[in-house]
Amino acid sequence: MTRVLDRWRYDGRWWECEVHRDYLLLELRGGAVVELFREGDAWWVARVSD
Amino acid sequence: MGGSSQRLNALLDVHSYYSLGAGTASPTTLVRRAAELGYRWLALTDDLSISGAVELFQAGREHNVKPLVGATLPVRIEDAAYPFVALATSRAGYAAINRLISAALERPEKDLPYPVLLAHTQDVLLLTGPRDGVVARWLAARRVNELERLLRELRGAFPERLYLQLFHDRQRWDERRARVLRRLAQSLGLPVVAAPEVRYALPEDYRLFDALTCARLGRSVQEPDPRRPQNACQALPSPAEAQDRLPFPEAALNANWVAERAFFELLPERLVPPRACLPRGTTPERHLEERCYAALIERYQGDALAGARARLEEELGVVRALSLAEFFLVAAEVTDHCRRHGILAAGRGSAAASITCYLLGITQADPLKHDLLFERFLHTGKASMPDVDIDISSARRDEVLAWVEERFGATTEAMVCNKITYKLPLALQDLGRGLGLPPELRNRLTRALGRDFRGLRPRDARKAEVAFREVLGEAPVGEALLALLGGMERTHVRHLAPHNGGVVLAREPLTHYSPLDRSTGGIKLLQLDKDDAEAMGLIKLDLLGLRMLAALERAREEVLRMEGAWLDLADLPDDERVWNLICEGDTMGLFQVESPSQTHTSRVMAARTLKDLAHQIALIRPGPIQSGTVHPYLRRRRGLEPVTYWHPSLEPILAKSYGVLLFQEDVLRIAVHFAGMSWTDADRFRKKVSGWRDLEDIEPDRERFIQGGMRTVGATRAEAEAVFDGVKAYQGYGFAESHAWAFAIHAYASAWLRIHYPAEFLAAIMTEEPGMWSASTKRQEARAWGVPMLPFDVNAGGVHYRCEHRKGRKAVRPPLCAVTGVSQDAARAILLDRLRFGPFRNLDDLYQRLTLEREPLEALVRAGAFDALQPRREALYRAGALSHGQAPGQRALFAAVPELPELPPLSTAERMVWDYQTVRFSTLEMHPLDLVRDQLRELRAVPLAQARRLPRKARVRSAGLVVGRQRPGTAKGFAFFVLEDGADRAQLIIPPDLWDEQRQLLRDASVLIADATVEDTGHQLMLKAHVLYPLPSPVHIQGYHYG
Repeated sequence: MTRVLDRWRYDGRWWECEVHRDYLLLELRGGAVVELFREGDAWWVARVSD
Repeated sequence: MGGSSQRLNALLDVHSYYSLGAGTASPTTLVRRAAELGYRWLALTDDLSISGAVELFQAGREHNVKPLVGATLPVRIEDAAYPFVALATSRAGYAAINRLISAALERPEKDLPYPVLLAHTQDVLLLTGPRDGVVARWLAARRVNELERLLRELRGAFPERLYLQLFHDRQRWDERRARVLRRLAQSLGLPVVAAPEVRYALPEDYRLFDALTCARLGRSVQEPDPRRPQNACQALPSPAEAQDRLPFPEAALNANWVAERAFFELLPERLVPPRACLPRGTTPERHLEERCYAALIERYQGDALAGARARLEEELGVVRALSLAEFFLVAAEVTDHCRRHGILAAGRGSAAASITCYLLGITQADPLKHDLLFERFLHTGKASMPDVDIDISSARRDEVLAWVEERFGATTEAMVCNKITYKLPLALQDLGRGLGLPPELRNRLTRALGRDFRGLRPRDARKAEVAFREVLGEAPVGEALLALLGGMERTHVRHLAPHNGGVVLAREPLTHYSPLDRSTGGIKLLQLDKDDAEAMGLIKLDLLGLRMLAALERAREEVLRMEGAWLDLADLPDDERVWNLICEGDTMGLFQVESPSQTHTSRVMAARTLKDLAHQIALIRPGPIQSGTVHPYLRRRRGLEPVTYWHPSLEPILAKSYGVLLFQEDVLRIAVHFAGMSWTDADRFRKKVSGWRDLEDIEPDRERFIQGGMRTVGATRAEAEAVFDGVKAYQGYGFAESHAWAFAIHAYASAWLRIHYPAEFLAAIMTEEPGMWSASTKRQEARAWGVPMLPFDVNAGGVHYRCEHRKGRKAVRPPLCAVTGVSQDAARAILLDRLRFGPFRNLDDLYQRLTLEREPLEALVRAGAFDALQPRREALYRAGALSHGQAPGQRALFAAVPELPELPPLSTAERMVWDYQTVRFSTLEMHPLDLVRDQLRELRAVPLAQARRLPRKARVRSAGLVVGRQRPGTAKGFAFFVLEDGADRAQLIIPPDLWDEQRQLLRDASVLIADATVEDTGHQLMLKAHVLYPLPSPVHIQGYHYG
């Protein structure tokens, strides 16, 4: 990873008791960009672009 | 640069609930949270509002956070409005912001034209705005060049006072945008400032904020909208969190520097009276003294004069010390104006204790004769404004307000506002809308709350779970709604509304203190409530519309018209018949003593003097009721128990009320003479006693009070504790003695008129509706008074109830506009046409002479207004046919009405139902219950007239139309209904267990049959219910509903 481009939080549909997600937008070596989010203890990849 | 100097110490963009739907916390909560997190400054920047400013400064003092005052201003630039954050750096800057807000509120779009912003820049710091501000939006739209031009122009208008606002609420793009904004500022040479958008205090408030945002935007939570929050990051962040989001040292430094520049003290130390009208070459003090001494010699003679002079000198000394002479002269100008124009007006409240007010003609009661306490009104240590309330005939109050505006000028006169806080019904409407509940369901839920729960604060919504379950069952939305309601602050303000009488008169333009707005009714309004206005040093005059004064005024005019006599209502003779009427509890229509509980008290109290009446009026109030005053007072008065005192030193204070605490003045006197407080401290203590809700509000005063009692009068600790507990129990609203006297005078006048001129009095109270009873109940009462009610008649009725001589006695004719759907203008048009062209021959004649729409015409027919001219069904047929074939107000060449079919005559039952549909009462000499009399006999339910002759404790089954429902918070779960059968009424006591069991029946029933025990007989029949049965009502009755 070269740098964090953006980070944000989405608190979901609270009225349906969804849990929040923390997102990171990372720039990787070589120029690819990956969007990750963490929900609970698990990390997920939302999308990747290069 | 050290870490602490880079730390963000100031919050510059904070919304409270005064942003109305765009904030959830009170200023106090926000300041408290800021203090917990270690902030030194907090700027309140509500949307077009400074309503939270006073609370902000008060909370700031308490929590050692320096308050900054500002507002968010939507500025119209080209085709859209963009929020800018404006902060005042001085009182002049505060006034400039007020002028800007006022200018925006004047416009239908509620925004500020850009050139207006540039015209009011003195001592104003400008931040470029948060997420939906012009910088973020124009950058997103790639309008960079335009943006740079705009920022350069703003920098010219706000030299050294324009800051580019950085924000970061952990939303998508925030991090990238903050870096871009910083670079933009660097390129333009503009300073950046870290100003996170704070919209609530704690992260858990986010859900409430989102739901309120949805309600404000007219969306449900299911509908996405970019204006909705995405996460809980608009809570007040810790400095570390803020620094993590915006890690730019200069932005934090600038925020702290801006805060230092912007701090100034908003709240003054003294009151500023308005400017009085003075004769040339005199001072306010001299003019006041001249007026008072001239009146003193007129009103007091002999021995009384010396005492009155001494009291006046003492009062004038206090008035001089507080520089309030002009305030008294201005209040007198208002009452002088009313007198000159024949408008009934009388001062009430604590002002009635002032001989100065009495001599100036502001009040009617002689404070010396009644031993009223001046210090309740004013003393040299008083920091709060003196309370001058002037009751004005409600029918003419607008006239007085218009004169006040003309006299004092449009910029220096306005009304204080009432901050309308959420109660449960309104909160569940708003939040229910946000959660997507359809309107029908929300309305059902509101109705289901009934009188049990509608007075609850939203945070206590769980107490109403039974109503939520009745309507929503087990649906998850019910729990979501309850959780949101539970998160609302007790004081959450929903909107501002005009105060019912508080007029502020200032020396300088009111925008020096507050923005000016107009209510939907056109009333000029401050964004300050009465306490805020007082804290800002403004003086308020309460000009209150009192319906009973309008009724007295109208009765006086009817007496003049019918009898040619002009009554001096302030100087009526003492009449034994008046006291007999009150003692019998026959008090319908009488001011302040006509409620069922006052009717009952009237019989026990057996008032024979104005003093008795003043005591009776004061007795049935939350303060005396909660302090357990009522029964000891009445028993001691009747000699049924000895008069005792908590401590012998209290005898001079409480002897007049048989040793119990009755008036606010008693609390004051005890605090001074027993606990040794100064008048200033005693006044604060009195306010606490009447206002406390939680023990922590009042208990901190316990020890000081007890120590004071032990020191001042040598009380033992146990005695002093007993006194404190006794005083503490005087919680809730209680009357000032001076206020009770002022009301007793009106109560006596109403009783005197009822005895001597019942028809005129009935016409007056039917027109002005001063009391609690419906027109239907008053109409039934007229039968008991022997005053016939004449039928509606297009050839006799007008706009007001009027007396007529009929068969050797006086009767009352209802006005045409009493018919639902007939406006005063329509009734006036009929009256004017009749005066000009003579009586109407029939319905066709009226239809051709006037442009009356079909609906009011048919309503008049149904109400019987054509009965004297043609049968009702025939008239109704012709009204329908005419309106189809011919325009109103035109004469036709050919008959527009086909031949009449055969129409059956109207039965009595049908007529009664039509009457109630169109007028809500009937001029028939019968009662709606007569229509179900046969059923009641079948069920062995005896009429109330028969029940009242039964002995106490007898068991009875009786029935009545429900015309009143009460369940006061002070009654320990008991409810009190009023049943009506003809001119007879009974109070039905419903015990708490029966209430719980029959909650829905009691909420919905129009007619009730009750198996009950007779608790009291005679005029005030009182029944205690055991079993209740419903009976379908032939008519719908709108009675009174309280508590």
